Amino acid sequence: MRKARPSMILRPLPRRTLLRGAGAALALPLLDAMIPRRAVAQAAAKQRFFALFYPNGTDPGRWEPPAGALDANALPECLVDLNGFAAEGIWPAGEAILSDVTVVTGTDHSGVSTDIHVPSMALSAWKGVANNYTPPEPTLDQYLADHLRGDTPFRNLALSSTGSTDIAQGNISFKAGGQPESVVRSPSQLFSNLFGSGGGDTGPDPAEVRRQGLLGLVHEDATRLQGRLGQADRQRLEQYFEAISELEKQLEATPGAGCTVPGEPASGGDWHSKSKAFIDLAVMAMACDLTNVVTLQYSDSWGVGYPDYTLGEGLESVGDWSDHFLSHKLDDTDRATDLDGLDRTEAMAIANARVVATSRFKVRRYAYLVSALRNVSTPTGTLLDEALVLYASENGDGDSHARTRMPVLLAGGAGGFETGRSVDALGKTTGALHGAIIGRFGIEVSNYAGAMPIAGL
Amino acid sequence: MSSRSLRTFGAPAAGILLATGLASAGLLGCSDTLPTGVDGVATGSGGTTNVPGGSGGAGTGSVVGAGGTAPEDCATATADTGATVLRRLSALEYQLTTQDLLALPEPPDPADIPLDNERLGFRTFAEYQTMSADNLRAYLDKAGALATALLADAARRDTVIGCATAEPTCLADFVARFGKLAYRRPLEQLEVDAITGAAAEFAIDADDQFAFVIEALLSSSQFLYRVEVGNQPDGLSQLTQHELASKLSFALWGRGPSAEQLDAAAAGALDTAEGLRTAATTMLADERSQIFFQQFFRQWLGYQTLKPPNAEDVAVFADMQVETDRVLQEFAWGSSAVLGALSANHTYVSPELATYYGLPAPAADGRVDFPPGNPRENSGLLTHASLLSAKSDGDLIAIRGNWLLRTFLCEEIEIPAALADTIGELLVGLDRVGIVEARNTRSDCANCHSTIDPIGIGFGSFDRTGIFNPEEDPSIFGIAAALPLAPEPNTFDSVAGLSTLLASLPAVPVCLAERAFLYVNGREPENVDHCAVSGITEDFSAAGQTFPGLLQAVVEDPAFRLRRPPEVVPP
Repeated sequence: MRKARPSMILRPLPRRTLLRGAGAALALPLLDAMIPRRAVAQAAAKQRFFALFYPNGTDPGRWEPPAGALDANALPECLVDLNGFAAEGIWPAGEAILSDVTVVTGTDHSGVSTDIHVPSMALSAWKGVANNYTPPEPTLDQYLADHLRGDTPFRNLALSSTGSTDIAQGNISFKAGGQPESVVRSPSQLFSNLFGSGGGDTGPDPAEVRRQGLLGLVHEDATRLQGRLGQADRQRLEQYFEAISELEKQLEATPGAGCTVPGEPASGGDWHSKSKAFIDLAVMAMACDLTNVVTLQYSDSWGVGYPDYTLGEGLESVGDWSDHFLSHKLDDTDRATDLDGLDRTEAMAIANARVVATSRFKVRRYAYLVSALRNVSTPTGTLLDEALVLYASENGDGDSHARTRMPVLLAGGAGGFETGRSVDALGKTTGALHGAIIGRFGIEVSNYAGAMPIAGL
Repeated sequence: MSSRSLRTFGAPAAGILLATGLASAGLLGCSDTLPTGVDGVATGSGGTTNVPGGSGGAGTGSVVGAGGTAPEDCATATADTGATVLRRLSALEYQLTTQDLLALPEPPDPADIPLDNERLGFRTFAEYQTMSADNLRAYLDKAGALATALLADAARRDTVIGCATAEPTCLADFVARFGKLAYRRPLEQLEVDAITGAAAEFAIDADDQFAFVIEALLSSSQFLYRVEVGNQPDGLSQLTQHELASKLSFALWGRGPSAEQLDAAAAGALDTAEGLRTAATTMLADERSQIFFQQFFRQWLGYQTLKPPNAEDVAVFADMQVETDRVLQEFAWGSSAVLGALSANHTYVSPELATYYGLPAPAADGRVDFPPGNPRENSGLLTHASLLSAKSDGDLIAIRGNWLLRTFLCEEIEIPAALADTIGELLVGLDRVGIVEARNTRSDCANCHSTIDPIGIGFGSFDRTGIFNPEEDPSIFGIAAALPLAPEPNTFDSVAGLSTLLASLPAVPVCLAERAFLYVNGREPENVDHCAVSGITEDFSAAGQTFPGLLQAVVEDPAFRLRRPPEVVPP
């Protein structure tokens, strides 16, 4: 009787004592003048980075607190939910995260992103060279990934709740040379990648042996190919070797002790349900030491809306308008036109209120992520203590598209990061911001993308 | 016209692959001085911004005439070609190739095949088709699923494996035969031995060895990448016979070559221009060209993914895509000039879609001839709801104008950074009419908006679902509908008039040639390709501007036989 072929679905596998070598060196990011003076080897303490991207900026005048300690009783309108908030839809009630957050005001992204709705440049500190929509240098998450990786099997997770694969709209993570990172757009796919079929195996698994044999064969085969290729093609083929090497690490991973494999997420859904599923899975992935670096794109510039939520009341209700249209208040052809007949002062008040309502929603989603990390205990505290969590957007003032006064939130305690305050970084570039973030992880950079890191951040 | 429906593959009616529609450009504005044309732009990677070169004339943003060798010198110039990265199979190429390799009746489900990044609506930018652990995992899993399904399907199994699996020589024979198709060249003995050896060592049982072989071959770099080394691995090289057979089958059919095609090439079938022409003619008469280029049209025109406003509209929006597929099929694969599709006076719709349009009920084959005076009269594609319906929530005037410029004239508009920062301040207090007026009169905005808004105005009576609505009156904007890049008089009072103007512009066939070049070559043409592009355009015209004539021209260009790898970036 023929033996049934074991399932080819990947599953968490017993740790092998011998990691198969990749046969090719991992290509590190090219840094030229931005090479850190001293790359500090990661200490025993783990460090994590998580960037949440949400499009269409905000209303900076209603978002930016004054510099100094954050006052729970005097927060700007957009940030009041840092004090906690009620449940809504699929999202649970949130506890206060005010003391865990630092607001950074006034950063200038206009020298990096020279066009108006370019999510692909949101995590870049460098202006485009070949075009204005692919970063010429690795985005912040990619820069950090090699430094923070440790021995996690997943170098980083690049997640997006938008199905768009448009190079500028559907991608926020880029490797060197404008190469888009591979993005997972389905929580079910992420679940499968991280946790496989969900069962742990004991003892050698025939499927694992078979898979290793197969990878060994294609590796050997690719080496033969490499010998025939010219320089440029060999360089390109490095992506394939790296893919094998990375995949082998992932396949050999066993979620750490104390890791609870979550339930499998539903498939499909809108930006909100996908983003929640992604956050839950990514936090679990960090808790399970599967990765230390995550980016999540909540939506592209056009897609997300709030039809299933009650944001704003009465005339201020955001209704079915897209976040994009709502961000454009009164003075753009792309706007919620139901205010057109009103007296301008009244219309503006409503439009402003709507932007506050959507901005608060965005902050609540960020707070959900921050709380989720805070709720995971570690031997020394919580996941949040070891992390920096960045909130980023592609525009600052959503109404005007200006890429100055960007909405930037940073939470977490990595590298002793101080929270509960607002830092005035007026006019500081994204390079200065990113340099400061990088510095928190013990990587000394005195100059990043042509800027000194924001002092005191 | 073939009666075979070219409805899209797989279960989702919305198309082969998940996609987004055109991104909303939002509010556009420009400065007086537009960036220079292709001359000044380094074009090592995809995504060159083509902008009007200078202020006068029917400025073509395309490569032809943008500098370099003058057209008349192309006849004597040595053929050259721009650089192409080592290309990974696109999702579509993977689907079509595995369909053939595994004798599937339909291409496999695209849902778990790595997606392609998209630019200008095209999913054929080789630069962005990267490899990663996620992708490799997906390819491995997909190959496993395909192999399992094959072994369970008695008929296909016999066809594909071609020998009795219990026979001791069968495995090696299979590796050689299947491997030749997968790698698009005969395998060397040591390769066959390595694969059979690994199968023997790692497969679970004798039958599984065949599955192992399939999975290995379909996950191998030599399957997933279209290797083009030619007669020398660095610098400009001439493709080998097998490589040329591959390039030709991918170019016209979107899939790897058959054994017969490989063997014919190795026997010299493609060595001469006449030989290649014969092969191309045969292939273009085969429906596999139509299947592959149906996706070209969807990508080029931007109707791969529509955004039905309500759940009830999903079916009729799917019918909109089929409408456009069918009209293009008629004009692309008969003996018509393909651009005649711009001014067709009929269409093919489902009964539901006819009702949606307010058209008379269609004939049995779906044909509706537009009644005299109908707003869609003589306007062909330009009044297809698939193209006019809102795919994002932005301003339709600018979006449609920009779409037309980009799609048919290869013009790309970029907002200067300084202006982008201040747009909001310029429009305070203006209503929609005021905004449109301001951006067409302020000099910094008007330079671009005056080239796109008059076009969008011309579509102004078509609402966000792409349907003519007499209550939408664009005359309120006080801007005459016009095609500004056409020689004057360039106003029009119906979309049919726009079709006529567009069809008269020599830049349109050039642009179509460039997009065909992009689809086939995986990159936009650069300066060094301008002889190729002008040669293709001339041959396209000489062939009566038929679509097969265009594709014939693309593959018969001397540069088609060449490959140039990118310059190596020093570490």
